[in-house]
Amino acid sequence: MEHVAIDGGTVPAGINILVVDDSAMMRTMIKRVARLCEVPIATIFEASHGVEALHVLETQRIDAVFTDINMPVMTGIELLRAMDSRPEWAHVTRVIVTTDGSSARRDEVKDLHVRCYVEKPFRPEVMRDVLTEVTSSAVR
Amino acid sequence: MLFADVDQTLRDAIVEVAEASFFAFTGPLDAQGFASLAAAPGGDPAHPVAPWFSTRVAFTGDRHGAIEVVVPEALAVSLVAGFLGIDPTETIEPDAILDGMGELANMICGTWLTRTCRDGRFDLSPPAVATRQGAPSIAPIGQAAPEAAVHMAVNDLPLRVAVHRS
Repeated sequence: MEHVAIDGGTVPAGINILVVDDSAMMRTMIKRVARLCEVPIATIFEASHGVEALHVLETQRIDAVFTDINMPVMTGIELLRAMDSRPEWAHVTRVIVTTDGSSARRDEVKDLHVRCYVEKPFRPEVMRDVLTEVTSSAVR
Repeated sequence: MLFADVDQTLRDAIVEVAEASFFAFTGPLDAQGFASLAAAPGGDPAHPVAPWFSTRVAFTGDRHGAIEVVVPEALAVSLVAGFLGIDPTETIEPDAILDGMGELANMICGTWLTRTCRDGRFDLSPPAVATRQGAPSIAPIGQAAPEAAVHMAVNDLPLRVAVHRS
């Protein structure tokens, strides 16, 4: 688990994002897009599975969670269900980033307050658009 | 057959993943071409037994099986560099290569299953990445031949994806 300040804090007011994926490479890619697209993000936290993500949510002010589904220890679906059980996290924007674009999976997350469903592979501009939408609606 | 038209659907998934996420270019290749390139990855006859990566992702749900993605080290480095937007000559940690090959196989499998059974349901296992010297045999002695195998040139280097029924 780690967190990085975007551009050394050159964006003074922004939201905190948590990226949850068991692939460090995918987490790096999302962080890189966030840096390049100049959206108002303060800090990006990382977790490699749902349990780590819950620890970050417990200890940090998180505004948006970008989570994979298929992960060891705790899946993204289990993470979203755990988040739904905590009223203090109701404000957190939820984005799924997954290779699983089946209608069955999309149906499964319908009631889990998911704002965006991004299918891998995605081009960087797709993630940029999602980040822009999320930050514009969630800037504190 | 586990899937209809498996060769074309798998090929489409490989192209989509390679081009959209790894910024690689793809081209056709047959088994003979694969063997030829595999004998000298990167066109370098001085290194005919360079390390290869073999990544397996199992799937369960409406259909059961596994895919195995096989690439030489030179292609693995090229793909990870493309994904991360860095120069392939920069040092890439071995763990990043393993992680990248896992994500490549995960994306190919997930994209292929999504396109071929969008109304179905599937779960993927965590990728299992192995390395060995030289291209692994498509059907090692004592193991069943795959249901299908697709060969492609990616960044002019050989890639093979095999589908196994479980």
